[in-house]
Amino acid sequence: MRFGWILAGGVALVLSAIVLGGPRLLAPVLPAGAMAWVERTTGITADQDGLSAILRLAGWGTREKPDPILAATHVRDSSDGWKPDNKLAGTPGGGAAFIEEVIDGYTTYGTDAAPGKVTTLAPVDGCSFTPPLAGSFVGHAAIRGNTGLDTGIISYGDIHLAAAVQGLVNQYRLNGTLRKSVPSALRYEVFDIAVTETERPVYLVLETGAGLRVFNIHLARGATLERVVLIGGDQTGVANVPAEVPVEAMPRDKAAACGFSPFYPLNPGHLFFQSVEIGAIKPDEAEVRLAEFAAMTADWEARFRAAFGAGAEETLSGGWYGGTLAAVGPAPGTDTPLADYHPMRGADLRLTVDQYIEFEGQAKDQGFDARVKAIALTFARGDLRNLRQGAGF
Amino acid sequence: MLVRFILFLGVSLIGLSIGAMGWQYWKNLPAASETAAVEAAEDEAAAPPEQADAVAAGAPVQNWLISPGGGLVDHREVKAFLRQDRFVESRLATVTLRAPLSALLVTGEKLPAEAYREVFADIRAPMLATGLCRPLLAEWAASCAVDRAVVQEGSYDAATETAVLRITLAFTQKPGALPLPDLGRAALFSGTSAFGAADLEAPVASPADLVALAARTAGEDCAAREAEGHACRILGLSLDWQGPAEASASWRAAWLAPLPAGMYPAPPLY
Repeated sequence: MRFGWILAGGVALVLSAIVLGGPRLLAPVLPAGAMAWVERTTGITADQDGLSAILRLAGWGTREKPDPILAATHVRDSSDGWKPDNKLAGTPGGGAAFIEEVIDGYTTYGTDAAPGKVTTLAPVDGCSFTPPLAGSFVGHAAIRGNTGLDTGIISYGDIHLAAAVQGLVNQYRLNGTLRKSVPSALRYEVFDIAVTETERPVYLVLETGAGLRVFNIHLARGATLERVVLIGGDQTGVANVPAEVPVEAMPRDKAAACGFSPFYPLNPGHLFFQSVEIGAIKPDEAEVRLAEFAAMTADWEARFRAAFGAGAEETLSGGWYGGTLAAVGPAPGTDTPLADYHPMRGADLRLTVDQYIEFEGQAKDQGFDARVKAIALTFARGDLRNLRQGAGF
Repeated sequence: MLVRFILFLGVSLIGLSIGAMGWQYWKNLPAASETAAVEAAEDEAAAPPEQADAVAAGAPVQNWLISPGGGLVDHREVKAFLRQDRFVESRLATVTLRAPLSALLVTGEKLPAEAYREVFADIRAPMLATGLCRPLLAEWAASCAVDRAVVQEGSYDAATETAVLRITLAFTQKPGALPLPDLGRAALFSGTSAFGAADLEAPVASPADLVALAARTAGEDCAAREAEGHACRILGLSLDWQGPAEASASWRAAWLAPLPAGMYPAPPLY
């Protein structure tokens, strides 16, 4: 009898947790593979609460019908830029589609699983890219901000180590602790690209803002890549690109020096327009800035067209602040092929790297934290207590 | 039964939370050897031998003073003036100096790569700071300790391989020539004095020389006040040494003088 009560209580608690919290509660504790399976088989996503997940299972559906207007309602006009929720994929020309309309088997789990071969990608030597061949399809996607899809791979150099040593010193002086963590700016994040163009070889131009970015490429059956061009990012790279496809990368410092400075019209809710509205930016100054923006947009449009033979804005997929996926190819429809999802686990990666690259946590005695502590110890003449300060008031 | 079950569940969750907090705390502690060493260093800093003597001498029991205008003197200034038995945060000597990083190396050592030089200077700054207490102790300081020695962010100059260090020294002062008067019948006056590069007869060769010069001059100022019968203390110094020809200093002293005629103290109600 007693055991029965305990069992009933336990079951009730678990059920309550599922109903109230749903996948949002379970996602952090379930193995990544299990949650990915749940996503694939049920369509329930990790951000849903319990009630909406149950409704989804019951078929009372939050799964919207493919409708570009409805999809566009999932993009928010924020002060940073257009912000999509995690149901959306960017499509060419600034469009939006639901993820399930462009890719099959998509999941945001397991991006930090161990990849296959990792090779170093050298940035391009000059200030130009190999142009597309006649008749190829120029696919173009961009991401700004963070995707939140961590690869578990970090890359860094002396500047980052020095900054981390200073952080450790400051913390040790403050409270005597040595808490360590790799700055998020040193982690490669994944942004997914679904390629659904199957009639022509695809020349892919991928842009990113600051940070470390890996574009995971998911080809539809029959799709082929001619070349991948990467613009921006402190470090960038690709995953799941066939070995014979050339990849050319121009990190953001060099891109800026070479005149490859992507710029697109600002969204109406952008901080700039908000500042104008509340008077923080005066009308005459706003006029000057708007003229500058227009010139930068035109410059980028001209530069893009000269380099790739197509317009930047008309070809752009995504370009949002956040999001996890952009689709390159024809507008989604009943006869449009879906891209096949390719996981990061076992994927071949080509990455531009800083001085050091590592899988976070794999080599505890030689990794980022170990290097930081070793440098601090050397500078402190072998004894971290030399870092402490204070006259003892 | 259900009540017991809920109680058991609640207690378990509390136990788990406390365990997790304890684990986090334990994980964040420095290694045992480091902790012991740090504690030893803290103890040393907290009670230097010179201070122990001062404690034995006893500290004034009154913790308020009257300003010349009749109001109460700010409590931090009161502490800086009266509490000569211990270091106080409101009585500091601040030294800003540009130093070559080579001065921070130990024998056989080379400068690290360019990216690390500023943090290297930050960690090694106390090496230069300890030497700056000596001139103060040679003049009028009873005890002196380095409170803080850090690099000024962004100050590393690759061309000269120098960086700006900000050093703060805490000090206590030896008993003056005059005993303190009846604190309830005296007002605390204060003043700031300074000299700059233009006032110097000769270049000041090093930061330690600047500290010595400033300490001597400030000491002479106070001695002059005491010669007039006013117990005087040095409340703080601020020194800047960017090179032999770019040296300046200022200091703040306070002294007790009889209350103006017709003024009577009303002690604070605490």
